[in-house]
Amino acid sequence: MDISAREKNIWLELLITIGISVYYFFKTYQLNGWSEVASVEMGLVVRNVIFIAIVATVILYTLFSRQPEEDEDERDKLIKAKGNVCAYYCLTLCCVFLVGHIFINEISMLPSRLPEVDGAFLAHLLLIALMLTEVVKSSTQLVAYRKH
Amino acid sequence: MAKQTIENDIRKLRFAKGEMTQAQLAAVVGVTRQTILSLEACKYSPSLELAFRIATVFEVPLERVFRFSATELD
Repeated sequence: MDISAREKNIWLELLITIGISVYYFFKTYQLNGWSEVASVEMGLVVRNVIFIAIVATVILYTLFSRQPEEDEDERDKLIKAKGNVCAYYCLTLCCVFLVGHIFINEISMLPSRLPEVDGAFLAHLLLIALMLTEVVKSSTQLVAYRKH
Repeated sequence: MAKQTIENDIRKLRFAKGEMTQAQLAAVVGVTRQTILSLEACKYSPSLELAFRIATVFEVPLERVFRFSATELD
């Protein structure tokens, strides 16, 4: 498979995002069901996430991304734009869902309510939305590189 | 519904021009080798500017390099 340095870097970016997210959410869930944000353990998890992200980035890029990335041409820009558009729709959808949830529970006078969530849980939902957006962006770009 | 593609003779023209490599053509027209690869496979339609640049390299009119093709699908 003929794969460019840019495509390889997107693969690495995607793998690191997924790996770090899985570690973070797994550890956070183990702590106290995602609600204990301001604890010492939570601080340790965040510190580990930052450390692992830096180490994983350095190791993976050193091992697999040796050739320098060429300058962006019109095809790269088109594919990047496609990825950004899909990521934008994904983030918008997630934000509408979260704002909708807050609106129904906190602001509106509707008799039926959605399950109550606290601020910490909502913050984690926002983190999931950001992670999902990043995954959608990278995946769209990778599919476009193979398709076009 | 019709499937529309832009076909091209870049590969033939490259060989006619002293067996020019994809990398050489990419460097002259200012794109990556992957873009030339993609063009030759008819997977990517170039911008008008890039199409003219490629035609200029081969010293032929644009329609000698690219042609529009529409095939009817059932």
